[in-house]
Amino acid sequence: MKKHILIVEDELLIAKGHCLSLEESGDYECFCVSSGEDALELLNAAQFDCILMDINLGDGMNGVETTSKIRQFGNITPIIFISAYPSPDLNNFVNVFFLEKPLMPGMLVKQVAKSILNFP
Amino acid sequence: VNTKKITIFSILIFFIALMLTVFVQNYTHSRKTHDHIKSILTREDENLKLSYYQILSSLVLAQERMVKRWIKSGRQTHADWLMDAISYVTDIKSYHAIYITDKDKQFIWSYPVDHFNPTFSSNQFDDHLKNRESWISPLTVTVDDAHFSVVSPIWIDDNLSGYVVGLLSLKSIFKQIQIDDFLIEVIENHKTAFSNHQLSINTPFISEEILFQNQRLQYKIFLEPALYKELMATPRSSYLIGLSISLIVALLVYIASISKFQSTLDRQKLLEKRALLYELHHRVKNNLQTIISLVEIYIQGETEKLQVEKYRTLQKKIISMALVHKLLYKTPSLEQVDVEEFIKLLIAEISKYSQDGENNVEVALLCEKIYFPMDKIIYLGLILNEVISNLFQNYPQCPKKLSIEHRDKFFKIVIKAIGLKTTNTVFWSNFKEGKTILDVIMRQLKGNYQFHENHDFIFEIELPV
Repeated sequence: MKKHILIVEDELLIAKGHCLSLEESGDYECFCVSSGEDALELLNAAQFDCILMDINLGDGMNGVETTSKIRQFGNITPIIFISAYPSPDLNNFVNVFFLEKPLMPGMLVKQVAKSILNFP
Repeated sequence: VNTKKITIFSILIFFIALMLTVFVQNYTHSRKTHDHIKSILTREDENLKLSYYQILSSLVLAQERMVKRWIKSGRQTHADWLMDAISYVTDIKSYHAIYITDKDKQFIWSYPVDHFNPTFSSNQFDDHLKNRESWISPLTVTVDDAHFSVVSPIWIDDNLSGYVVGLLSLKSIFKQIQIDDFLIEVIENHKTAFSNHQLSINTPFISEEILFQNQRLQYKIFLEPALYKELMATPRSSYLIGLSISLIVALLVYIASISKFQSTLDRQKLLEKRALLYELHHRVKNNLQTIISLVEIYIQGETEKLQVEKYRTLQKKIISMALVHKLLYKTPSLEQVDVEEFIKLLIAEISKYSQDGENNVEVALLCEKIYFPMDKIIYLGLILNEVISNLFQNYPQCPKKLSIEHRDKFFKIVIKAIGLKTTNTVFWSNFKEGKTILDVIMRQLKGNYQFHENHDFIFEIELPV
């Protein structure tokens, strides 16, 4: 059964790139949203095995704020932050990781697999 | 804050400084003048053995007493009072001398000192005055050949009716403060009479109370004469000094403010530029990620394995360029990049992409620090990235050493993979595009490279100084 990955990224080309890299392996099925608000809405309706979270999401909530809300709702799905900016302080969150842009598709797939594997 | 505000502020400071300096100088000058006058007044007369100030105290008191006595006597005419005064003086007969003038200020009478009582104590004198209702000046006077020695003016109605002895020695003060012309005349006319006098004064009236009165008198005297005004007037030099000091202060304030303003402006501009560079750097990284994603979309549409591999290689090159870009962003100077530091950072970054993420490359600088300009370091970064990435990717377990040397007109970078037995052909078989890139870059940098196929894998790059 394929693992479900939620990609929260306002740049749709990048989101598509991540999506294709992950789906190419055959182990994952990706769902893309472009804002934190949409991500929260989707998370209310469905469960995911891993979330890829961009930090700068344009207007509205940013990635860190969205993560904060997700954790407030008791959702501890692994979250991988992906950003061109340096990693923010993520010590307040459990089960989060950070990848710096630009990154090779292989590295993304490896990190997703690792996060899901460690997730109880 | 702008330069206009700073100028206004400096002008304001100038006027404040001017006012302050002039005020301070005025005050200092006025204090000095007062002190000078006071020093004269308190200077002890060698003959009198008393300070002028003390003498003045006695005289004023004597004057007051004589006036009181006049009022108390109820005499209305000058002649009556004069006679009365003379009778009192002659009645007392001891230890006093009086110089009496008529209403036209003509010298008419003086009382010679016939009785001198040097041991007369203040208490005794007080009793004496009380008992006899004496109005007379509390002076005891010794005069050798003069009839009077100390003079105090007594003012009754419009006439200067008398002088209690004693003012002779005060001439030096009063001539400075423009005293009554008449008094000077009297003193001048009788100079010879005063010239050899010996005067000592014992008075019980030099008390706090009297001193206080005299203090008031002192100021009264010095406030009235025109000379006092002249003395107290602020000298022109004070204004010039004040003006100079104020100008200097205002100028310093202006320079300091402008300098601070300029440095704040510079810092602000620097911060803006830094913020812009920061944003730009991360925009570039984001754009490179977009290109990688675009290539990924191309890969999905490709069926031929060879093409896919080429696309993957392209993605790696983008990552390489991003890596060099990231390192350059971290270096403090774009003109003088520390080669050793740059290589260490590069290897640390490349190792993140290795299979186990371990960095097993030992870097050694075998010469003094080397600095490359930005355009040169970019290409060096690309070369090293090609070679080291290949080693990490295909021979991850193999320990590696990188050394930097300076030989004549060349810098030599040696990469050694210990225990790795491979040939030039085998090494580049997985890395064909890398070799092409290496050749092109070496041509551009006017350097060269070579392999040594011994027990260890050795790759050498030579770059001109």
